[in-house]
Amino acid sequence: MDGQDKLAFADVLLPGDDLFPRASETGILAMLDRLPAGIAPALGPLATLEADARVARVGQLQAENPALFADAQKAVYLAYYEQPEVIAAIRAMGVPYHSVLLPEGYDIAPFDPLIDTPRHGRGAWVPTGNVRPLDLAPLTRREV
Amino acid sequence: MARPDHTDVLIVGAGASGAIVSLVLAQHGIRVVCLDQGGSVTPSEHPHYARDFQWQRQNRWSPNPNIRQAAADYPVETAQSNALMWNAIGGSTNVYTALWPRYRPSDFRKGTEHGMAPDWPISHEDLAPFYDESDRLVGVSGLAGDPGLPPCAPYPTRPLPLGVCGRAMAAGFERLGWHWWPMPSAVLSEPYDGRPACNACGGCSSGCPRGSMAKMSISLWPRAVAAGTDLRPECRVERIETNAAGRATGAVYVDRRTGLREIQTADLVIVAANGVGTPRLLLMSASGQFPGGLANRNGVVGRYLLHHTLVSAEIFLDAPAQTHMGNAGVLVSSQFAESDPSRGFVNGFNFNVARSGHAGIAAIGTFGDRPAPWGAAHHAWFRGHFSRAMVVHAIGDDIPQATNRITLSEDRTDGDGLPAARLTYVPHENDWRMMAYMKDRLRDIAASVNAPDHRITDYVDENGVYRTPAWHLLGTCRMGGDPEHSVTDSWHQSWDVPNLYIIDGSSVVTGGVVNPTSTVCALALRAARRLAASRHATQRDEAAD
Repeated sequence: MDGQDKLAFADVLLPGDDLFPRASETGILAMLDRLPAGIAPALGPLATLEADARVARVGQLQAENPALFADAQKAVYLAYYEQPEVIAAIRAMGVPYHSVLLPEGYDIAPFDPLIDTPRHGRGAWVPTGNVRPLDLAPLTRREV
Repeated sequence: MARPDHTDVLIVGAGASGAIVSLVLAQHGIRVVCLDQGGSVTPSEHPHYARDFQWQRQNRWSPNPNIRQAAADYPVETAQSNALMWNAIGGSTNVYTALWPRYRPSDFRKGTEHGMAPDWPISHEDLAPFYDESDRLVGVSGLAGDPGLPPCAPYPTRPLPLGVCGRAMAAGFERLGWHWWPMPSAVLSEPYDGRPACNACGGCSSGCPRGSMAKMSISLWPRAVAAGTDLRPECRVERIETNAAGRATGAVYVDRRTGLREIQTADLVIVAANGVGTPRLLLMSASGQFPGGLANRNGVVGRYLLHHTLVSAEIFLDAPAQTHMGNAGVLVSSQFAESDPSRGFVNGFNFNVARSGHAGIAAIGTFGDRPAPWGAAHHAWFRGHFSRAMVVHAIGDDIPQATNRITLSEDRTDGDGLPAARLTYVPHENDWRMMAYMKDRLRDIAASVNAPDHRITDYVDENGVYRTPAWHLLGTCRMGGDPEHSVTDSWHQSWDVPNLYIIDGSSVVTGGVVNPTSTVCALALRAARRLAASRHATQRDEAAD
């Protein structure tokens, strides 16, 4: 599967909108070696097709080989959300977001005993000495 | 074969229980050698520092050894549940989420309650002081005073943040009139024992290279080694040896760094290799004297595998709630933890309420089976769902069945030519009933928070096979009150081989309704204290003689 077909496939899945970039507008191609080996013969040439035909071909693949499609979709999605342009779009949603987990981490307000301590008083447990044989009749009355 | 120095105690497995037992025994001056088939996972090996951290979780950092296929792993052949584990110093604490709730008293008395499982030979009261001590040793955050459990000591550090999402979910449980409580976790909310507080990176499901979480290779192992434990990584035990008197004499192992087979002799052998690895090793140790495997004259080794009933929901809140930020475990609910046969089943279940993941995980679906739509609808979906997903796991007490078991593969092997494990697990009818009930209650929770969208996963495949992610590998060498139906006594001592102890998740009799590591650690601490005391008594006797 050549790079143009890979990008065409990624663009069908992730076409972009007014905030998020189209997949091919990012550096995703370098990560698309993660695509499963079977995707190329199953999909055939894609980049040379018209836009509607590309979508139809990908839909056909999903219907005919859902497991292969799922693996390919997972690879594309995960690669896309690693891209700096995509992370910038997430941040533009107003959500704190880092490209890597560490070392920075996030700021979250600590547990506030006044607000966060449960006041409901609910909850029960059976002390060891009070454990008794249960009436199991309801089990046999139910249809299996 | 080289013959290193004889030692007092040989421990197989450097996971949570192996770490605790090593630490306690070494602190009492007992010579300990601990062998583990894996190496040390350094902080930089965790995926947290790489942009592809979510991709790594799908392959090299997968908790499933059949996917990961690292050199230290052994295959777990199965057509059913997927056994999850990590084979390295610290064991599965390299990659767990460190939720730390405790068993309840009735968990130890299911034989009395309904007879579909035996009573434990010990009670909650026997274990309670060790829960408290283990919490201090390991470093746990939480809030004492849960009315749904027996009283406990104050936790070493305060509860972790509930955050916007935790408060929203708590409000839902309030609307339902159900119990909820901040989740105890072996994740530090404050600096403790020289380790830093959690910085809310949101990467718990890939472990914690900072040491804020109780990753035993960072938290306990340095202390155990400083106390004198001879910890040997990359040493895969092939079999436990016995003498003509039927006592364990040590173990033959493959030093994976050299490829050479070595032998380590010891006065006492402890197996702590998890609910799959421990029975695997005992079965691999079959001999003319023990043809069915070591400690297995009654055929119980490997049987009664438990890993909990599990149904999960991904519940989307109606506003952004920072669900990708912070530690995994937020709330626990024991509303349905006790048996109530009017529900149509015995035993109970808990809800674990947890945060979800980062953007890629949101797109592929938290459980990996229901991705976001592709095409023009994708980006709108993402805007309406990302950082709003809460995960609720309903975790129930499954019925121990002799047919659910670990055996040895007939044709697959690990990298050293040793037989792979084979896992067989089919839920009991009681478990199916419970899981159906769980699904309805998960829908109740989604409704309670006015979730605009939710997805329930029952882990049943298209052929009706239950293929759950099996984190909690339990019960396969269970303790008991008689040698006919159990592998060890209440102090983890093998009935068949008097100087062989089994101390890990395989020791439990029932699974409870909670993540088991806190209980495994408490059991390990209790057993280690006893072993250390008996060793001192022996030394005193010898001195008096």
